[in-house]
Amino acid sequence: MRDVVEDWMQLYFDQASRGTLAEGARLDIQRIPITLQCKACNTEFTVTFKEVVKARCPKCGDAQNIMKTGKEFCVEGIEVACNG
Amino acid sequence: MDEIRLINIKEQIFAKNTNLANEIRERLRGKNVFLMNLMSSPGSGKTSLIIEIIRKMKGKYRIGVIEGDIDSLVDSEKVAAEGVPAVQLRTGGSCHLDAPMVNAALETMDLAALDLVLVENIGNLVCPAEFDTGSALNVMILSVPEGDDKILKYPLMFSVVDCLIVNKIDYLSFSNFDLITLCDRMHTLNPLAEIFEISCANGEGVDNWCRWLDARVSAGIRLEPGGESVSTVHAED
Repeated sequence: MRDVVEDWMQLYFDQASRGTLAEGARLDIQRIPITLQCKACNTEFTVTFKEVVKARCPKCGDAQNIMKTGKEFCVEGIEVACNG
Repeated sequence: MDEIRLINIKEQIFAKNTNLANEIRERLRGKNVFLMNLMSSPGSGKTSLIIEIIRKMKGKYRIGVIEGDIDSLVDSEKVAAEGVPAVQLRTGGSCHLDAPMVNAALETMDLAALDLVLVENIGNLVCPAEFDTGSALNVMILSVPEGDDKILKYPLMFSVVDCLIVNKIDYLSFSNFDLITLCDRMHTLNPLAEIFEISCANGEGVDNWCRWLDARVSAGIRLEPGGESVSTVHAED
């Protein structure tokens, strides 16, 4: 759901990391799937960005959903290559 | 041979902003001040709605306004003309307000003399949705001339607000804006949000919206005994 432009994020990262240990590092951006929970029957299901405003519960057909995942925005970890 | 090691970070990118936003909420709760964040596209009626809120509610609450703009003092001058304290934040290019900016504005205000602070965010349906300002209530406006499809283009904004106000409904009969489809989509995306239809131009629906806001504010703060008279004295200053 986050409005992140991945190419720009890498370009800004390249600028900010110049001259540091992180210079030349590649950002691996993983989009977390959008998971909705039906307000009526609590069924959880995954939808695409385009489907999110018209999603119906696959089990009971209800149209009101609570978003459970899809807004995450965090640094999960760093992979470092160590010599030797 | 290179060995690849994974260092777990698990750090929220907005942690610094979110922590300060939580601090602001806590501090304002202690000071008995209710902070509302108003977001929308440019020209959808944020300033007009703020002026309506001031006119209808300043008899009950002591209101202050934080105006966010990339440049100019136009909006804060309009608001100050209504007789309430207004602070203009000029972001100089930044397209949203965040917790540090709102915090800086709050530090210039006499919070002991205020019950309700309205934040007019930068006109933009993208970035303001990303940054918690420390507000107790997040409200957005969509105006009829913008079209009913904005929820398809900017779903994050529609998903983070407590209330959607559809403004300029006096234009409905001149447009193909589909209010029912918009409400259906909003109920699907954000079923907890309230939806109001208003026109700041002819006043339709504004009283109804202000009654809802009044209920939210009065549930969020406690007015001092005789608070109304305190507010009235302030309003006439």
